[in-house]
Amino acid sequence: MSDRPTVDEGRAEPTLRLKPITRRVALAGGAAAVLGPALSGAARAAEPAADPAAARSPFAGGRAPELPWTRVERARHRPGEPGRDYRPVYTPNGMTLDWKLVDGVKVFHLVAEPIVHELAEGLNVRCWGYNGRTPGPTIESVVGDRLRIYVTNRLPAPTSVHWHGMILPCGMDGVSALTQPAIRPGETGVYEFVPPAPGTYMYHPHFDGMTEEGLGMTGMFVVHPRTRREPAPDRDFCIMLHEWMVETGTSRPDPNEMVDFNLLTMNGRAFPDTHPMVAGLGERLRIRLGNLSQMSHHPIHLHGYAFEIVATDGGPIPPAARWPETTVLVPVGTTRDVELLADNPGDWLMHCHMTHHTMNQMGHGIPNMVGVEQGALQEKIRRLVPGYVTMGTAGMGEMAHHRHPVPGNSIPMRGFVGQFGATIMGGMATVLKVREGDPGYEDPGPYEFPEGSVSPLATPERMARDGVDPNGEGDGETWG
Amino acid sequence: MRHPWRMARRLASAGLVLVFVTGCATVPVRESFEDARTVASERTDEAAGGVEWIGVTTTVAEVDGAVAALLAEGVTPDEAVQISLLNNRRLQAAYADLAAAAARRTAAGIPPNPVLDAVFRFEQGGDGDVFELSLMEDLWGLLLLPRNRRIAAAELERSRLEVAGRILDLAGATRRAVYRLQAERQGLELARESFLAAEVSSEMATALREAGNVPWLGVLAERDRYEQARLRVAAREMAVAEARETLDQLLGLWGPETGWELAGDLPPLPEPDPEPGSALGDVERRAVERSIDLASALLSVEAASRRLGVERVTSVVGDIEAGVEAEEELEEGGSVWWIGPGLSLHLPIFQQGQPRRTEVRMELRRMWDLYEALAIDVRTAARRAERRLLYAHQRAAYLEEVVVPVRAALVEETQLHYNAMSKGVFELLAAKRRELEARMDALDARAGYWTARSELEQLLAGRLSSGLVRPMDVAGMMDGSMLDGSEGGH
Repeated sequence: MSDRPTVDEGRAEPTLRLKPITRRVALAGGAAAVLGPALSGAARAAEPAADPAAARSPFAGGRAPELPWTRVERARHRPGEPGRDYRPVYTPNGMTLDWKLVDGVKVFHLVAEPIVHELAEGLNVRCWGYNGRTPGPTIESVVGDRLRIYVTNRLPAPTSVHWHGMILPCGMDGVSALTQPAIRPGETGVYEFVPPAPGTYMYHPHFDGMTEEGLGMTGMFVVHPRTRREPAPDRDFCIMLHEWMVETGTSRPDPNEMVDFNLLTMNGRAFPDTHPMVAGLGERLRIRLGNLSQMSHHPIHLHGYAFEIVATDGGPIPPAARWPETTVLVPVGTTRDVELLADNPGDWLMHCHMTHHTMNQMGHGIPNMVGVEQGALQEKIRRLVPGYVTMGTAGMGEMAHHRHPVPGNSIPMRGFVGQFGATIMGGMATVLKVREGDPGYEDPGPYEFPEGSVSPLATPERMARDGVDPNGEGDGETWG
Repeated sequence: MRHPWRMARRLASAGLVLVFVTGCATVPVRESFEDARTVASERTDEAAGGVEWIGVTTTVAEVDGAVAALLAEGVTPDEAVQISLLNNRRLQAAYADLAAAAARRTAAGIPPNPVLDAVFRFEQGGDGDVFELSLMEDLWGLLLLPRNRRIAAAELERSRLEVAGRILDLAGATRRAVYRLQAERQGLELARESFLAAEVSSEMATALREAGNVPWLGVLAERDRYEQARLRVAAREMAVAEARETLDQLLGLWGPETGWELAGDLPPLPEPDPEPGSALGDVERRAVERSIDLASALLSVEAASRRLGVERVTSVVGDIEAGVEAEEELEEGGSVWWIGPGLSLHLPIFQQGQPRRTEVRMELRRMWDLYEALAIDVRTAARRAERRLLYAHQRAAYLEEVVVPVRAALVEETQLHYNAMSKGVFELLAAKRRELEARMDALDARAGYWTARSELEQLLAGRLSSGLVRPMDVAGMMDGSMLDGSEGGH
């Protein structure tokens, strides 16, 4: 063993000195299987360089640099089985792609095709997806699984599939024209690779991203670790974020839209039609968020909890580096895994905190009616247009109560009806329902709030007792 | 005088013969009017309500009473026509024209009076006296009496037809003026509704401004539209007033009488004939057969032709007078009568009358060419009226059944988008204004149909109306009333 630490990066000079080498090598060697390509350079450092000079050569030891998946291929793991080797993820409103085992290879079949998708009750859109759905079915595997994924193209346009975040041979990367010819309509392509590292990945086309991704061709790809350093979470949720522009009264999203999206979805559904995430009190939860929106990053905020961001699509985050948050920003083209202990019972909203992203099909070309006195005008307008109602003078919230007829196949005023009333909320939102005991995954209904725990209206007696005057100015110091 | 008794008897019997020849020289004033009235009522039902000549077939008091009764409650279109036929003074003037023509006809049937010349001359400084007597008759007037009578008869017939035509004219014009007033009145209501939309739009912009939500620029833009709408309403109000005045003028009303109310709306569009042209069928032939204008022009030709016949004779030799001359001379031995025929005529030495004959022949030629031109006009008008009626019906039906419903559906659909908050209140009001404009166009088109129908019916009753003589302004019928696509929104 040389006394000079080296990192074989094919450079003449070492650029990284690591001390103490043995501990680091052991850490790197052991962690390589879990942390994979992030420390592949360090893994290579496990190979002792016989000759310092030779160690500087890119061909040290007479061998080519090791490819990121060489180790796992060599390990010849058995195909991962749900239950035995991993706890399957749950994709609300979605499903997991089936596979069959052929000679030790997991064979999957993705069909890229135009579909009709119910984005919410009362709104069906004609878009493109995989296997009849958008997002496409979640692909699940374990590190070291040999995968063979057939992709049949029934779209009217060529396509390919890129495995976002996956470290694999360039020929399997799925970038049309760059790494492979596109799969033309009617053709079936096939991808083969071995996932070398665990993580939350995504899959999407790479021929005409604006159109094909914009029309809904997205999907989550979860790779579970072979060995665990930490216990697996009790429940593991998978959510794909997306945004759409569907003009009110139409059924076709406009993939050419660049700035004015009016429908936002989790797993292809808009609130209140997103299936809730259900968990038992005290369980450990992992929520995997992927964002293949056209243009928007999404700050996903969870009420009632501070979670830790434990992984990105680049790999796991070491525990000491995990970022605590109540809102995780999921930029376009990334995934974020968060974990939390579900110790706070109730119905907890999880939503994108961009306020427009929780509205369904708002129009953005109407006059600003906030604060406009319309009293007398409403009567006059009714003489011309019976049934006219002033709208928007105090915002949107009240509109959810009224059931005015709207254009067909649209959900602009749908809103959400909870046990305490209705609001206009929609869009990129869902509810985390934490219940005692061991609830299943089906919606357990609204939370039964303990007596006296719901914030009440303040009675006059109470206000008087505390010296609060509802008609007066609020208390407080002003600065400046 | 040798035989005064014989002379007296001769004179008396000559006078009796003359009386028989002349007959009663009364002018059939009333009958000629009634004949004209009969011609008119055979051709149209409009005259059924009563056509009267004030002072001849009825009194002023009766007419005033009838008109007042008709004006009492709301005046229906039929009643308006009745009033105009009773009360329009120009029509009454035409009756007097007719009576004058009848008088001329009567006069033309009476031989000219013979001219009696009697001269007494007394010998100055003596007992002699001379008594000259001549009785001359205009020979041409006598010989050509039948012809002259036939000329005057043709002129009278023409005048009678002309009066019948004027009755049809007035009835038709009144009917069309009623349609115009109905259309303008209903159009004004729609314009007022459209104005309300513009008004509320402007008020909404002001309310938005007061809340701090739009710039002053937006308020001014809406204000501009409001003022334009206001001007349009004012113009419509003026159009209603004009239509009323036209009708008052035709009905011969003035003063407090003009306060009447027109009852009834523009009638709805009738169902189209199952076979186009079946009720019309052969409009050209029927219009020509029934045409008063053509019959009248033909009578002018006939009169001119007869006049030419007369002139051919009278232009060569001017006046011819023939008669009896008698002279009595008182001489010694008694009076002596010299009696004999007399003749007086112009000798065609210098003037043989060619210029006059040429003039009259050219007059005939002119009458004939005008008659043929009128025949072309009538035939053209017939085809034009038929085509206009079909087009007017199709256009009115299309506007009512297709265009207005599309605009109404636009309002409904815009309201759905308004409820969805993807369209604002200004777009909703603009859609409503466009619907109202389509309704106004449909109303105008329906009035155009009824007007075209009245003109065709009048033509088939025999009278050409001025509107059919000129080509229609088709381009003007293509409305410029479409509002631009996007309006409102700030």
